[in-house]
Amino acid sequence: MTLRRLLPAALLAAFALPAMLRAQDTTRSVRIGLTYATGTRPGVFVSPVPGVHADSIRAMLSRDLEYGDRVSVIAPDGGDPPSVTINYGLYGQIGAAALVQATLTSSGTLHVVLHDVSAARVINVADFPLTGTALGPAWRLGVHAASDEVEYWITGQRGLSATRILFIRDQKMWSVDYDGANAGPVPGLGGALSPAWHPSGRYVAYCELTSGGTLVVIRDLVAGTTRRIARVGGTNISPVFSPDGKTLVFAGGEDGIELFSVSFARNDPPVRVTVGRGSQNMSPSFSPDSRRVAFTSNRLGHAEVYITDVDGTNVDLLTTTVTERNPYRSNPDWSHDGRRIAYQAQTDGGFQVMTISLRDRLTNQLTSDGSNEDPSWGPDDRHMVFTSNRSGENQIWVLDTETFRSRQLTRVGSARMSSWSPRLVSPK
Amino acid sequence: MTRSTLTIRTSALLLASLALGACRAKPTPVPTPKAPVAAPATPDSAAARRAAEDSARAAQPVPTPKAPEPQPATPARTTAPSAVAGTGPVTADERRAAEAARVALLERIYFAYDADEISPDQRAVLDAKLPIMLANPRVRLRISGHTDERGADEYNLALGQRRAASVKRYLAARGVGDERIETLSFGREHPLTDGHDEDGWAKNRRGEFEIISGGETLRAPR
Repeated sequence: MTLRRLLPAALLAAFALPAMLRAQDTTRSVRIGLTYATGTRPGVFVSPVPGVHADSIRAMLSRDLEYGDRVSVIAPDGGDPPSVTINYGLYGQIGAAALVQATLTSSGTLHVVLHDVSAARVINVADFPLTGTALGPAWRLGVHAASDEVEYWITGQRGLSATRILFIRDQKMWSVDYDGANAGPVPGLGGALSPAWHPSGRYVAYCELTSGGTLVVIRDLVAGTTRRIARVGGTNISPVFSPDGKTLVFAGGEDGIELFSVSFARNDPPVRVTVGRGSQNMSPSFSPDSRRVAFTSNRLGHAEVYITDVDGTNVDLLTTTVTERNPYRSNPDWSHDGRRIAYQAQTDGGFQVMTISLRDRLTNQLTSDGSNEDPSWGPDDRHMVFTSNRSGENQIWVLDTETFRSRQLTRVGSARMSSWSPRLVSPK
Repeated sequence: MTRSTLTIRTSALLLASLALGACRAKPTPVPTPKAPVAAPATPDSAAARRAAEDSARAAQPVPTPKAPEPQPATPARTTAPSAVAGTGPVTADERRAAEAARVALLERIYFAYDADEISPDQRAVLDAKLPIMLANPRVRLRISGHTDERGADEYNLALGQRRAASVKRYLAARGVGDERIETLSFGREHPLTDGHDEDGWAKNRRGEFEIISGGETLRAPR
C-alpha cells in the first residue's frame, strides 16, 4: 500500500472516526456467538429506538453494554432507526460486529433483535416485559434485563445490570441501581449496618443498631416485614446468607466475638462455629458450595482472614503475615465462582482492596487511589463495589477487576458497607 | 488506573512505618481522669491497690465548711430531717455525696489503639466505681464499648464489645456480680468528637457507663 493511498484513510481516522477505527481493530477476529475471546471487545451498535422513551431505552442499553466492559459501544449518539432492510456493510465499516435493534411494542414489552453484522443475519430475538411506570425502578430493571441478555448473546457472559446495591449512609440502609439510578433509603427501617443479600434477592439480613446495642434481623423486601433472628448475649453483627439460601452466619457474643450459624427457615438457637478463645471473629463470607466460611479474626493479635468449615472444623489462616508490615487484613468476600477472595489490607495511610487466589494464594492489589475498603463481588465475579474516599469522602465505587476501570456509583456522602445483589430478573 | 500505579512506593512505606511505630510507642494521650490518682499508677498490684484505696477515699463525701450542719459530729447519713425544708430524709451532704458517687459511676474509661486491656492509668477510674457498686447492690450498670474511626467498621463493633467485656471482667473480679453489668458495643458509630487526629481518636476509644436501675436510691459508700 502506497503512502498516497494510506494518507486519506489516516486523516479520516484522526479527525472523524477514531473511536470507530479503534473499535474495528479489536473486532477483526471476532465472530459473534462463536469465537468471542477474553481480551477482545466486539463493537456493538445500538440503533436509535423509535417511539416514546426511545432515547432513554437506547441510552440505557448502550450504557449497560459499556458498563459490562466486554463490548465496545460504537457511536451511541445520532443515527436513524434502521429501515426494513439492514445495510450490514455500512455497520461493518464503522466497526460494528453486532447491531442491537430495540422497539417498544404496543403491549408494553421491549422487542430486541440482535444482528450478526459480518454474517449479515439476525441471530437472536426476544421480548422483555417492562412493568410499572415508564422510567420507574421496575421498568428500568426490565430494560437492564434486556441489556444483560444481549451481552450474553454476544459474549456468552451475562451482564449484571439488572442488579442493585445496598449500602449504609448515616446508619440507614440505602438502595441504588447498579448504574447509580434510584438512590434512596430503604423505607421502614431504623438504624442499620452491614446489609447482606439473600440469594433470592427478596430478603436482606442486616445488623440493626438500636440504643440497646446491635441485633441481626432479616427484612423481606417484597412484603416489607422484618424478623429478628435468635440472638446471643452482647453484640450481634455482620450477618451473611449462604449461597444455597438455607443458612445465616453472623458474629456475636459478650466476652469474645464468635461466628454463629442459624437456619434461615427455622428460628432455632444459634450454633457456634468458631472457637476464638476471647478473640474477635466476624465479617463472614460463604464459599459457593455453602460449606465453608471466610472470616476476619484477630486470634493472633491482629486482623487476618481465615477459612473454616461451617461446622467449625478445618480452620486455616488464609492471608499470611510473614514479612508483611501493617498486618491488618479483613472483610473477606468470596467470589461466586469460588476462585478468589477479595478483602481489604492495611497499607500506608489507609486500606487497599486485594484479592487472594484460593488455588495458589497469590495476592493482587486492585486499588491504589485513596483508601479503599469492604469489597463486594458483583454476580459476574468480575466487577465489585467497594468504599473509597478517593473523591474526598466515602462513596461507593464500581471496579472492573480486569481493566481496572472504575466509576463512582453513589454521590450522596458518607456511603459505606456496600453489598451487590444477585441478578434480580431471572434469565430467559 | 494502570498497573504501574499499583507499585508500592518504598520511601512512603518507610515513612509511614516510622510514623506508625512512633504512634504506637507513645503512651496513650488520654484526657485527665476526674478521679484523682494519688500515686503514679503502675502495673504493680500493691500500687494499684493503693491507688484504689485512695480513689475510694476520694469518692467519700467530703464535709464542706459551708455546709450548714448544726452538729458536725452527727454522721452525715442520719435520717433526721435536714435543716432545709422539702428535701426529704436526705441531707444536703448526702445528696452531694450521692451526686459525687453518680459522677464517679458514670466516668468514662479510655483505651489504647486496637486494645481492650485496662491500662494502669485507667484502673483508678474503675477502682473509684468499686466501693459505690459494692455499697449499692441494687444498682445495675450498662457498659458500652466504643472505638475510633480507623479500621473496619465490623471489626470495630467487635472491638467495642471486647472493651466493654474487659471492663465488666475487671469489676466482676473485684466483687461486683456479673448479673449487675450489661455490656454492648457501638463500635465507631457514636463518636464523642469528630476529630480525625490522635487527640480525637483517643477521646473516642472509650467505655461509657449508664445506670440502668437502682440509680434513684444511690448513696455514697460509708
